[in-house]
Amino acid sequence: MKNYLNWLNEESLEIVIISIKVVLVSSIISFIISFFISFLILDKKLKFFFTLLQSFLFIPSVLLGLLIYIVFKRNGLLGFLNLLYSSKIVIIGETILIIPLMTLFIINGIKERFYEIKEINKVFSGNLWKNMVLIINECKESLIASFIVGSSRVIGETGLAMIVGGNIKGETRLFSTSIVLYTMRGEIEKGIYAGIYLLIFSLILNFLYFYFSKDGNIFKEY
Amino acid sequence: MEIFLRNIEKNFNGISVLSDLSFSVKDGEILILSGENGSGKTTLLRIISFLTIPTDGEISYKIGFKNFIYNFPYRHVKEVSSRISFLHQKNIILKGNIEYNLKLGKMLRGENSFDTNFYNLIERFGVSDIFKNDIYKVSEGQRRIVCFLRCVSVKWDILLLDEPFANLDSNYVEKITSYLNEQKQKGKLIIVATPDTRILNGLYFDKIIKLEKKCKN
Repeated sequence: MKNYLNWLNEESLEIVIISIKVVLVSSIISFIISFFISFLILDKKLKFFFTLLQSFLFIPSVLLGLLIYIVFKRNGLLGFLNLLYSSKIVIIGETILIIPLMTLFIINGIKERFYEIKEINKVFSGNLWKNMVLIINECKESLIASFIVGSSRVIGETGLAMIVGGNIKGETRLFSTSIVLYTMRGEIEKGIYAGIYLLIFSLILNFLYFYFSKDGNIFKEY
Repeated sequence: MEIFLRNIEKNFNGISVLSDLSFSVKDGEILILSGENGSGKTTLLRIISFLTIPTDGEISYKIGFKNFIYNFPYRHVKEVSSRISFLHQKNIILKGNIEYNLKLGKMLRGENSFDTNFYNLIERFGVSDIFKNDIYKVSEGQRRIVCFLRCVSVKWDILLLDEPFANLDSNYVEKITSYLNEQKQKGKLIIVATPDTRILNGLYFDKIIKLEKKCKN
């Protein structure tokens, strides 16, 4: 217990704060983009785009990390932005990574009510924004669940964060990347403590997901 | 206000639902669309309310001295569609209480004033007692009435009702019938689709169109 508390020093606190920042910011940005993409796919019935998105669902994060690295490295296409090895690039990478996942979960969550709401909106000559507000209001549990799924993916992600972030102390060191570092250094005990924190965060997110999502709602009333 | 339909045709994946249908209906009239299930009553109402595009034909709406003619594809429908109110065959309800569901129609239309007329209408149909109840915890018939009231509470000149009496007891049927008769007297145009014309006792309708099922099972 004493050792466990020892890990709660300044360094670990930084890891916690950076991890939460990366998870929250990338999830929020991705959620907003994914919501609009989902709306567009369902509204315009873009089957090809939907299938394309599904194919991107399981893109290896290290591969995406490599692509982002190539684009943002010093002599790369966007190298002038000088973002490599900063928390900003980790957030950008994680955002891109979870957009397909979040979009598919949002589509799955809202598709049942989407066309009914669109119909009601059309009948009463409501505009696009009113339609969106109605969908958010009607499907908020599913939308929250989609947000949590995306966050869960980010919190446990390692490959992309290592490649584009570089695991820099106080800047891009996250739970997952710190475990890699501790293990490589042979500081297994520290790695386990970081792992425990990661597990707690993941469990909380998973609990929230099942609490809000339809997967967790197995009870019916007649 | 007058609606003219000329040679309306509608096919779904090559299966004809409506073919060569022409008629007209004007304000102060109640038109009944009858016919067995699958004869195209809902499709026809949806075409009139711009929710479905016909495969062929022309619809025109005469409002005062203005004539709005629509061929495929539709453009600039807002001027006419904002005068139409449509009751779906299925009760489309949203999470929340009855009050929210009732006010939704007016809120979407941008009619944000809930005056005495609105509350009188609700009182008349006996919904004020269950105003704050969760919509998912009332009967299917009560939901039907909520959807009906949501539909008629907005400003309308053309009222399209798709099986308005489904799941309703005789008390509610009488109330709706008397309301529709009153609106007819006020010069409103009403089209009611129903498979069962026996329920129309007491409704002063002017025309009845019997649609034939094109594709027999």
